[in-house]
Amino acid sequence: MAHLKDLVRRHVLRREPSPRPDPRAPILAIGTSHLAALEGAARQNGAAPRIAFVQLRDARYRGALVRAGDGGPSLSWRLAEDVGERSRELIVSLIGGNKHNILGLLNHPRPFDFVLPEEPDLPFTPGAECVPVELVADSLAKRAVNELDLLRTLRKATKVPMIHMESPPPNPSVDHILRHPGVFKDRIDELGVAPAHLRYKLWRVHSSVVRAACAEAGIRFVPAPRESQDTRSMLLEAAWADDPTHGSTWYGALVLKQILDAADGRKTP
Amino acid sequence: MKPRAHPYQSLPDSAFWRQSVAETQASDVDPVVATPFTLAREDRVAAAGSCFAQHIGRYLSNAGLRYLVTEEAHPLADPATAHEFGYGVYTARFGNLYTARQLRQLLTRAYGTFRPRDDVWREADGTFVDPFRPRIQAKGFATLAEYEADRAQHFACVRRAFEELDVLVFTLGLTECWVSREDGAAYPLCPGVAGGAFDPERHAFHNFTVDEIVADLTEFVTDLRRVNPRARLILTVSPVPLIATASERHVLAATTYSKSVLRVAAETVSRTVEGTAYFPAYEIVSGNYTRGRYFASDLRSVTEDGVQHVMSVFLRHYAGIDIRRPSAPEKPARGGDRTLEEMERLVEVQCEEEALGSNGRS
Repeated sequence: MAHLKDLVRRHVLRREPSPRPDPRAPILAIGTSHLAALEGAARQNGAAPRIAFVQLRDARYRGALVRAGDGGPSLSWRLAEDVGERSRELIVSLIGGNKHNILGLLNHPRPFDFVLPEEPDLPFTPGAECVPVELVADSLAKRAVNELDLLRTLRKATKVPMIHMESPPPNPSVDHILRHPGVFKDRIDELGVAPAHLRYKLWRVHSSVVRAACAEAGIRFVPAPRESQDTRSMLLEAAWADDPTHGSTWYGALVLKQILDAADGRKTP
Repeated sequence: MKPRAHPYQSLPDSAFWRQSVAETQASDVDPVVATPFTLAREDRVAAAGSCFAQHIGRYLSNAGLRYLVTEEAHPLADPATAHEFGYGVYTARFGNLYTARQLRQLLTRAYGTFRPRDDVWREADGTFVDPFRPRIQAKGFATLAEYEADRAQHFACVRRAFEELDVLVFTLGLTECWVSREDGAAYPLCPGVAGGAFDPERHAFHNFTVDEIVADLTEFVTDLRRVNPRARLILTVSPVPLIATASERHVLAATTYSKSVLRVAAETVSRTVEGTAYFPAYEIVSGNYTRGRYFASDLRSVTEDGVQHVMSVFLRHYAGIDIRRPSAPEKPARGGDRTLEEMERLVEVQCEEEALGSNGRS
């Protein structure tokens, strides 16, 4: 109940649109929930003047993607204005990046698993239904269609370089998720947290879907920072946020470094 | 001179062309005289065969009968995608079974009494194709592990179908077939067409005879009843002409031959094997009384009117159901998985909450 009250309080407090992002900032980072860790990190390390943020959940950017008429989608005028500022040198996307959690943060009542082509020897949930990986990818792509369209439309809207940051790897700790269930609490009680290997596979397939869309659109896809990952390529504890699906400010700082390196022309490891 | 009494005097109208065909409105032509059994509402009806058989499940379901599907897509797939991946097209995800040999082989493979040597095709792009359902996934299976897991799951669903069905409707489609020279395994498509590579040393053309088809169907029924003694079989012959022939005849002549053989084989089995029946879908669609109107412009595809005529006759005689209006094609409904819809809402809420303020660790 407490978390619901907190949610309402935050909604009420943030109902007014936030001010326009700094038009002088050379870097514009656009995203949704995964932007929060980055914002926190930017405030902490003093990079804030170089980077401005577009939080697509903010009322200011509702309907960022406009679908009208026979032509392709376009950006809302507010987003187009922010992206098109002359000072921009790098557009950074942290758009979406959570669709894999829809499919597999929690156990599905009809348990499923699949074989990840790049790592076919990963564990397979005993007794789970085998689903073709192509079908999983198709399901994720369809659920992400608006996000991917927004990515493509952003790319067309500006000539400055654009990168997309991979969403954070999954949290390997079921205990942590159980301790910090957030809005999933009731469903976790009912369904339980999906095994880490399945959440990892889903994250990988989701990333491959987004990576392919980026490659097609001419957007550089930046993998999640290696320093944030354990030997199984899942998040190190320092990177865990106090919820089941996001990265911490420490994780955000690693992503921020990737972005600043990209802006400065340094190759991301 | 007064005509003498003869057997035709007492025959019903259905025995006479003029009364039952030439002078009957086309949509009222009904070539079924009697059925050896009928379907009860609780009977589980399975469907398999050539592509024409795909219509059967839809009409059975719409009519309120129990269309048996043992291999359904996981709910994470929307209905259109599930269909593309071959789920729900037939009772299990076995794709088209054009020949009686394939049907028999499906059963023996599912129960492990026959394992073809040519069991998987590795493609140049590293994917894997099932030689016996080569188009079940447009891009093939990504890994051998996925292929093997999926096939094991598929065979379990096939076994469940054979053991749970009350009636199987099987549509015979072709006599022409490509088989392995090594062990006689029958392919649904010539190797090389949708995966694999054609090798004349390993692959041979075969045009099944009436005797071979009768033997295959008879053995199939025998094997089926070992696992399901109550199983009954309704045979139909697909009216869809051959798209191509390898018989060195003209495709029109080859089609006539093929359909004739299938028709005779189906008749023979229905008259000699108890608990089997022949249903004249072929005649309803391709009878000259339609003047070809049940075929689309390619002269192969059966129109919805034709399918509706077939299924209305089928349902009337086998289930006592009268369908007066064509069944609407299945609409690909929005994926209706409640768990995923709820998770989508929650993830959105979670993201909304996250976006409202950083909760990351500092």
